[in-house]
Amino acid sequence: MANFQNLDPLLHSQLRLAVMSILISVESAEFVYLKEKTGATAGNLSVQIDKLSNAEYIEVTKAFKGKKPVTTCKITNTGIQAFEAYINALKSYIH
Amino acid sequence: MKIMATFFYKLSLYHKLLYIYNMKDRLTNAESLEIISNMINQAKQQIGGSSFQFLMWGWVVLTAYLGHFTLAKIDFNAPYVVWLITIPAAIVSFVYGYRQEKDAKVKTYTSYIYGNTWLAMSIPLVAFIAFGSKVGSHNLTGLILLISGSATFVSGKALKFLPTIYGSFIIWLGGIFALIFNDDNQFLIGALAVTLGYLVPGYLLKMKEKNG
Repeated sequence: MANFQNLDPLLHSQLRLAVMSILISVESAEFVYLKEKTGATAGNLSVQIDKLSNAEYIEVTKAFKGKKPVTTCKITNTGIQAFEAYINALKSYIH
Repeated sequence: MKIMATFFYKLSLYHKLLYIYNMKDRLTNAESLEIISNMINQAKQQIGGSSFQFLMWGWVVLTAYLGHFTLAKIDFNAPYVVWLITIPAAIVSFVYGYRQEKDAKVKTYTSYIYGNTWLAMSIPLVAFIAFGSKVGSHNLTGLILLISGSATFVSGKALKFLPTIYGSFIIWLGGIFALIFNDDNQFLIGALAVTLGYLVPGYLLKMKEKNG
């Protein structure tokens, strides 16, 4: 019988998984970039980013570009490990 | 004993099914994989702006090679002055790169490798030019082309763009030929290497950036 591993509930959500998949591929990304690529609303994205940030899966930096406030997200080592574990758990379901 | 074993087996099976059922409400495994691959592909398509540097430097260096060749042929006493056009080009290149990085909504590993490779290669390039008399001015074209070929190769690999990778082979080959024929013809070899190894892949990259 296949050895099922638990899928991290924090990552097993459409928007949070999309955000983490983007952040694992790049060095860092701004909020507007994540919004554009995921097609999410600003409110929903903001809530999901907070959840990922509270779990320390991502690091959120707020700064100013001229007069414009800019939120930048970057995946942390904890986030990378969680993402890898999620992929391995998915693999155990497939094989 | 057998009843107990069956009970525990069914209990564990029930928990697994319950878990899968709960997860099914959120995402299926196929959906998860689709999200991951779609988003990674979206993030991979960030190559915008790289063609500007290739094209600008391609035209600047091509002009310098052809200018140097022409001035040498008409016996101008300092044909190398034509290379002074690389100074404003370096300033434009730096300002463009700085602005692009500042305005970028995303920082990719590709642009990180790309920028730092050229920065690292610029040190030996400047050193060779500054100490041209020690290296032997007739060897400069060959050495500069060989170093530029290496940076072009890394850029092509980072961008995963085959024409730029092939371009680096042409530039390396141009460097070797320039060292072999190190008379005035080396400038024509340099011009040809830059056209085929820099400008042609640069325009192909620009087309790719436009088409997304």
